[in-house]
Amino acid sequence: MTRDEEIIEDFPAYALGALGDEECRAVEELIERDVDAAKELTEMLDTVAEFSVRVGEEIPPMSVRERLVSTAKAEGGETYQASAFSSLVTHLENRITIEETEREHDTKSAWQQLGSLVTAGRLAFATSLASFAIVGIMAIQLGVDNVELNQKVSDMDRDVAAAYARAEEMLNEMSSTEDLLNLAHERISRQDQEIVQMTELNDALRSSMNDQISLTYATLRNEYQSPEWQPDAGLTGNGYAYLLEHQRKPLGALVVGGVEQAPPGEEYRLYLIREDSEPTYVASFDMNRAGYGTVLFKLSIPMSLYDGAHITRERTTDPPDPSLASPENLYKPQ
Amino acid sequence: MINYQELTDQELLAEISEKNTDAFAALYDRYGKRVFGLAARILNDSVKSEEVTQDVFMRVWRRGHTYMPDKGKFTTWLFRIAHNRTIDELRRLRRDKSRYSDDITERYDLESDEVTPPEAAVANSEYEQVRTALKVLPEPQRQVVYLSYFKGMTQTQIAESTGQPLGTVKTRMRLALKKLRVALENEIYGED
Repeated sequence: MTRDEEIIEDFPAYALGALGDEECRAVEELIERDVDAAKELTEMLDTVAEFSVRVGEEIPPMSVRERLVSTAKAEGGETYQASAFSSLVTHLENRITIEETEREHDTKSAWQQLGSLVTAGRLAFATSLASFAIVGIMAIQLGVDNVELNQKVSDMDRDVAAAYARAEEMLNEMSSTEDLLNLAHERISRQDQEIVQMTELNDALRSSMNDQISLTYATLRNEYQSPEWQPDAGLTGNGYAYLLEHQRKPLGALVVGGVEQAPPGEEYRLYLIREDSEPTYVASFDMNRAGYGTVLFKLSIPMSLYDGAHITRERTTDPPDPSLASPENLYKPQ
Repeated sequence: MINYQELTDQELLAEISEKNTDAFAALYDRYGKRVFGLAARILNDSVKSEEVTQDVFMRVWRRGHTYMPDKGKFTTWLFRIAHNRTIDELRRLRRDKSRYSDDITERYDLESDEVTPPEAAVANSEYEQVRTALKVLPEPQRQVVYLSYFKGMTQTQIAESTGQPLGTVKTRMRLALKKLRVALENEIYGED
């Protein structure tokens, strides 16, 4: 087997992208000098390409197209409108050139005609005043035609200048619009990044807060116990609350997380609920900046005798108002 | 106003070489989904597939004038670039992750002469897509095409990994391409 035959054996692997760099070079060198081999490889490459086309479609994000077009424009690409205006200007320039050529031709041939007439006049009516007059009239007429053509050319020059100016204006407008779009795009990207960062920070803060609550709860659990009706969680969608009762002393504890700080002049108040009597106010508290709060309070009766608890937000200067405790927010025994 | 969708690939390329971005966008609209689809099938990574798609079309934008119609069809040129670029990316990712051998062995029983479907359900989905595309081939030929075209292995690596002689791998590749060609000519896959 010759070296070339060995290389031809590698054609399928070349088409499938399964050769090393050196083998690829050998294949490419061979097809440069062997037309038949090149044809054979082309057929294989066509087959693989046809296969590639059928491997499958997937819709890429629109941003890929936008980036491509934007990069292409940044590298000197033009849109159809800009090209069209360039074409219009070129077209008008061509028309002017044609008109000028025609004008030169017309003028020249007219003078040639005049020259012929003068020659003829010299021959036929060498001393005739009449022939001179005729020639003079024709010359004047040709001069008038020439002035009209000049006027036409000037008009078209003005049209071209106006088209140039308009094209430039449009290009400037397009450039400004593109700049604005790029700016807006950059701003949106920055905002997206900020949102992502804020979300990450928020998640980290929430995680840290939950750790803090769990730690406090675990610490208190050494001496405290949960009432039987202790809920697992649930002041709000993001909030947590744990109620505890001291195992030997008439003391209770509340650990709250995920609740915003009360506005100035207001505070949170805890009421314990018995279904057969008015809610009992037991403590006021506020959250720290991280949305975390703990409060200890005295119990007049064991917590197990209560059916639930309720937290209100009230003005600091107002006395506790048990009527604010609304049933929908009660912690129900599990 | 030019309707770019009606232009042939070569007419679009001519416009692109004049730096016409509308023609460039039209060419992308024509082939973008297939180039992205090809990259996505091989890389299984949407972000990397976007990068590959972008690189392929920017190459068309910058070097479209190097395409020579007498050397082959435009789609052959385009998808050759797309496949090569994708395989380069796949090999680079493999080097980065150093999971080359694990990746291959987890999908195939390479001691066997036949390709066997992976056990994992997730892998099954990908395998089925490829299997459908290669359904016209017998398993041994399908294996070499899969490992080279979709997994970026060289013929030498396939021979080493499967324990088959290099000559056998080459023969199977040649037979596979012949069968694929006949199948494509007979439109076994059907038009999309």
